[in-house]
Amino acid sequence: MSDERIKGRYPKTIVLKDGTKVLLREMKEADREGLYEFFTRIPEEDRKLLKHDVTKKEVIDAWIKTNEDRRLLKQQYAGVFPLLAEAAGKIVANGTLHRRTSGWMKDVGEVRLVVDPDYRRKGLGSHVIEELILLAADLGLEKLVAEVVADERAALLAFQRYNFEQVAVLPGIVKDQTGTHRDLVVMVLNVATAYLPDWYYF
Amino acid sequence: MLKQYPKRERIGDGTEVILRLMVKEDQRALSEFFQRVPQEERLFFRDDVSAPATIRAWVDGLNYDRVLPLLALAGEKAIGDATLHRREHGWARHIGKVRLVIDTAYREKGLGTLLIRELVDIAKGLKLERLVAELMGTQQAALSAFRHLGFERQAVLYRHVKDQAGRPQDLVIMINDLTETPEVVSF
Repeated sequence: MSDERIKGRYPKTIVLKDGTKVLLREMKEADREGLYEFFTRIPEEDRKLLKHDVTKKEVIDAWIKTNEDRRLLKQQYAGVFPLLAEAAGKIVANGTLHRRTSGWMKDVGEVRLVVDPDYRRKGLGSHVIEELILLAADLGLEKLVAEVVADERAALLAFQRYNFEQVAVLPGIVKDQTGTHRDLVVMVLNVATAYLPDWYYF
Repeated sequence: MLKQYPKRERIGDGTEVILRLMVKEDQRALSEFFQRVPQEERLFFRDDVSAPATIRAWVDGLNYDRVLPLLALAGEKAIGDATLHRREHGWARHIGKVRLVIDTAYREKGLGTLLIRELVDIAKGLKLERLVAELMGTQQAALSAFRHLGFERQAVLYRHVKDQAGRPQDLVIMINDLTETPEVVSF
């Protein structure tokens, strides 16, 4: 039942504060080249914080393949749900909702987000976070985790706005591309207490 | 450093165990090992360990750079499996995560401690800087053992996980700083 609700939601167009129109949609096989190109626009200092080496085509190919395999099995919402934001003919943001299908953490999801630097400070990241929270709610997830490197103030504030709380700081656990150690802030949202838009309840 | 395996050790009750890295040929022994894991403990695994396909996928996809599985065997029987998980890229590439399963018949004999101590040494040899272990707040014996092995409680996520009865329990994140050298005290 919840799958139907999700299927009908995308693609959808949103308008950012500055009037930019952005299309939010699910990832498709045809996004291969677009994703390679998107990640070349992400600065090295951000790329090096990602858990995967996005400069390697085979990494992106593997994501596309996993997504297609699941789509064919009609298990789209198991594992990783990738949401793309498209503007001016290119991918400008990639948000993912990660979940496990069984085990002690099956009710906990994780959100990750990468935004093109030219599209930051426009509220796009927040829109994507909101969509992933809605998705989590529809899928029955009880908690969402977001891991944010300590000095990423805009990200911390964006998550806080949706009622994510800082539950832990792991000191010096992050090693960036220069070898500098930084703190990791672990934020958790009880999905039931998230600030969801009014239309969700209609 | 991995050349030291296989090696023989004795655990608390005198049982001799062989420690060695998992290989493809271990599929059968592993299937049997995981069949013996009680139902309620299966929730600690991300995959369905009762399915032969899961074990087959593990042994077919063995990649020690990502997952280094150290087995303990008593004769032909696998009685312990400790794994060191690494990432090849990203902010956590200097961090390893450890996971551990011990056959119920061989618990409280120091086998868990032995295996984790081996993984700590391996991790240091691989130049990892931190090891992470995730435990449920109710796992008192394990929490105590990890503390004894140099892991410190870094964070507790309140009611973050569900136990076998579906009750929320705390998730305890323990971290071992492998770069800390013990201070030598002149006495």
